[in-house]
Amino acid sequence: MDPTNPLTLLIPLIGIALILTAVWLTGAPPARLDRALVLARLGEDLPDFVADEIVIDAGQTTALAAGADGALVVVFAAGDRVVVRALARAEVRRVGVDGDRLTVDTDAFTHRCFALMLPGAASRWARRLLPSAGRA
Amino acid sequence: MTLEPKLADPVAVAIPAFVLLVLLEIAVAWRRRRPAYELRDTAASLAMGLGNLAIGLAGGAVAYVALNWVYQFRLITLGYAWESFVLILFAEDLTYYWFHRVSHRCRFWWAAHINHHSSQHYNLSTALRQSWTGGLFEWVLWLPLTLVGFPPALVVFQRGVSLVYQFWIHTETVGRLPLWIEAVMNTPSHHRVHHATNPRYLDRNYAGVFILWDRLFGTFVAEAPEDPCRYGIVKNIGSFNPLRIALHEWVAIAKDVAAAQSWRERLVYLLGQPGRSFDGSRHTTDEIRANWQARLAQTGS
Repeated sequence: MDPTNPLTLLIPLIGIALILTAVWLTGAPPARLDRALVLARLGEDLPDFVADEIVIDAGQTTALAAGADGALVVVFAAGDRVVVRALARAEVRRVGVDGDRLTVDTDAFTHRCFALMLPGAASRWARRLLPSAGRA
Repeated sequence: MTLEPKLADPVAVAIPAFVLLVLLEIAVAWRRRRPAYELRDTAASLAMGLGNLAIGLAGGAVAYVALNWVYQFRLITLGYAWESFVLILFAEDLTYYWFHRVSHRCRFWWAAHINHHSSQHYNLSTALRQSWTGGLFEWVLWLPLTLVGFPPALVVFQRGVSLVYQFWIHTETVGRLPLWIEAVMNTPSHHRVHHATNPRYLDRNYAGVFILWDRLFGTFVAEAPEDPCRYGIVKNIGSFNPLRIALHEWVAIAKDVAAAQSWRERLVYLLGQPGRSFDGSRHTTDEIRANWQARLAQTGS
């Protein structure tokens, strides 16, 4: 590869533009979480986790699940896919409640913060997270 | 027969074909009404590919100097005869197999390689999701080839050929190929297994061009129709930020090493199996597979 040849850079850049345009026109829509999808992904990624309660954000982008033993799991849409992540208590830095909006800050390097609209349930879930997280 | 030592860069030559094949795969997926691509995921993969190209220019120069330095101590001189091209095809592929196996079993190497597995999609753009940090040190495993006597330019050329070959196998569009091809070559089916996080598939099928190495060294697993591949990594990152994709495992290592209680723990966090932890909060591939097998035995399925 000759870095002094303009074509070296131009061909990949034109290719990238074509590919992104094609994906923008035909790509998959964002994932929308529902209870069945959350349960399915929990079963696949954390087969030993038994969800005692699941709450899904009004926008269907994020969900929290609590196990009978108090274990917490966050499930969130990443593009058209779903990510399941055990939420270690030591990872939670701050929990905030603003009306029905629950925000959680963690010290994870990726997907550090997430927010859920939980009509009527934000405070209850904040209390669930707070004992280990410290008050906001 | 001796060929001109000035060999083309197979990757540079193949870039237009990469673009056309990605566009073709997008079109096929759209026609089948099964979208294989997502915009931010694709953009992230392409950014990783571009970054790898840029960093590769610098890292490649260092590697080339090192390969040439070692070459002066070569055991024999193999030159550019046609036999050398045949020999390097297998020798480089064997080297790639062990490089790839180390990259999955040693966390330091995994930190550089993990970003290639970080997409939850499996399409041709995933092939372009290459490391930003691996090019700085991975080449050391190719030094023995020049010590044996392969010319450095031939080693670099064959690495490019291998990379180009491995592009087309990153697809769900191609099903199973004829039996003799599946028996000898690395194929989309075999490589889907490699990218899957299902316990049965984890850390299997390390092959580059020939799947023979996995069959020989006991790391081969066939794709099972009853266990469809789920792609990504055990703890998916949920980020499309190229910097986070490139560096997340390095950051995780740094955190673990900083929190370690002893030098042994630090060493294990740096060089042990990915997933190894001293508090049970994470699991290695071997532990995940053992737990899965135990569950299977319990349920009797």
